[in-house]
Amino acid sequence: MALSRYLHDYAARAARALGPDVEASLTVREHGLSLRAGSSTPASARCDQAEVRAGAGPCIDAMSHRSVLVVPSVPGERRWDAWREQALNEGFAKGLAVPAEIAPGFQLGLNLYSRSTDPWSEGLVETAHAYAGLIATGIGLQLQFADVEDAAAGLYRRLSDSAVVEQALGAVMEANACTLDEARQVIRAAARREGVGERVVAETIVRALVTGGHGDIVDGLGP
Amino acid sequence: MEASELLGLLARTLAGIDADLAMPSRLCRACVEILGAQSGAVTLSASPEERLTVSTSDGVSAHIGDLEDMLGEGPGHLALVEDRIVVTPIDGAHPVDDAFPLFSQLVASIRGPATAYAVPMRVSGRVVGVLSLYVEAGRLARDPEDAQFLADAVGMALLGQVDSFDWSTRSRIHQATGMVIAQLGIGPSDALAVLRAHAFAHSTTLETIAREVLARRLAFTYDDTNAVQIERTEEP
Repeated sequence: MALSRYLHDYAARAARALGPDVEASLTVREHGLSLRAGSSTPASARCDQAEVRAGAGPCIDAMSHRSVLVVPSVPGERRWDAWREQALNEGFAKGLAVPAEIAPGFQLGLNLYSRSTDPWSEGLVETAHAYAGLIATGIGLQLQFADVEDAAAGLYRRLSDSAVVEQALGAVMEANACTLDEARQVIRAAARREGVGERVVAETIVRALVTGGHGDIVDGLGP
Repeated sequence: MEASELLGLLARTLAGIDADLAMPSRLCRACVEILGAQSGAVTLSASPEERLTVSTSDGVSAHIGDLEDMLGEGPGHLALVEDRIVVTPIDGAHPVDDAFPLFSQLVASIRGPATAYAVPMRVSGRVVGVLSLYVEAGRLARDPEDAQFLADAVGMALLGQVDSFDWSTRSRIHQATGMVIAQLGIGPSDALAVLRAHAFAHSTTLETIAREVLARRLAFTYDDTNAVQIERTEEP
């Protein structure tokens, strides 16, 4: 599934989870460039688009200052004209912008809109904050691995590689009566010399010991 | 409960948990709270032998996790292998579970009457770990589908933070396994079984035995009859 589709789903889920009168839109910002990423409704999308086009609005400010920004009354808002005008046209009475960090220098803004004039409750603001964090984690994961499937596969590789290399470190410590650091140097040096990964060297060491090989492991792997 | 409602509940619960705690701890505690459990643990794992417990909600979960790790069996292992929710009573009164008989016998000494749930965490069709829960009320506060959804959400969130976890405990066990491989010339699974057997015989944790081996206070050799012997010294 494309990242843009995930972002749309994140926004839709956030809106559903936060209340029946809440609409949500997501904007991401990196190196000063803001981009609307996904929205639960066309109206919330248009508001974020107006904000991004103008380069000013609650979401952008919240991301810039890394703090939650509450807009208790859209009609009374005077800081961001383009955003205010669009939000009024859509019939929104209040707004809430919640930032979260996806990665260093890469921010997410969760913009919430409502036609209700009741104030945002403290509980909703905290929940929105936690939700923005969950969304940022999800987006970070997608960007880091391109695909969730790769992330799961990455965990398998990480755990598997780690197990084999750490076992080999212990084997070298025992066989060469050396310290952990010395064992690490042995494996790294062998990997460099052979032009292979540490995992390949580690598997060779363990295999050699299990099949009866003993003695100096450095010589056994050397050219 | 619908997925969006559950995600919202997870977010609201997370919001109420100390923000200074690491995210795995917050996720673990949120699941314990939402599912009406008294204790819980989150373990990442690619296979039953390669696991990393990233958070426990309290000491009870940690002890039960250590027991499962030491024995190499238990509901968490079974949930990983068979990719299904495993439920088992912990009270010493029920017959031992044939799938993990030692665990069944010994776990009652750690925890009073309760029920253990092990929920596989699935991401994109792969099992990436287990959410373990211990419930004194006999059953979870929500149905298994909700528990599965939360476990999957936690697994997804944790995958993005793999590099931030403390792998040192697991590393020590792997390194000690490697030393036993070199001492006895046996494969990794057999070497780990030797460590586990020794931990079991001395009623201690796998990690404690691993530390002893790495400190060269404990070694394994063969005697004249090819039986494994234990050599223990106070100082390396």
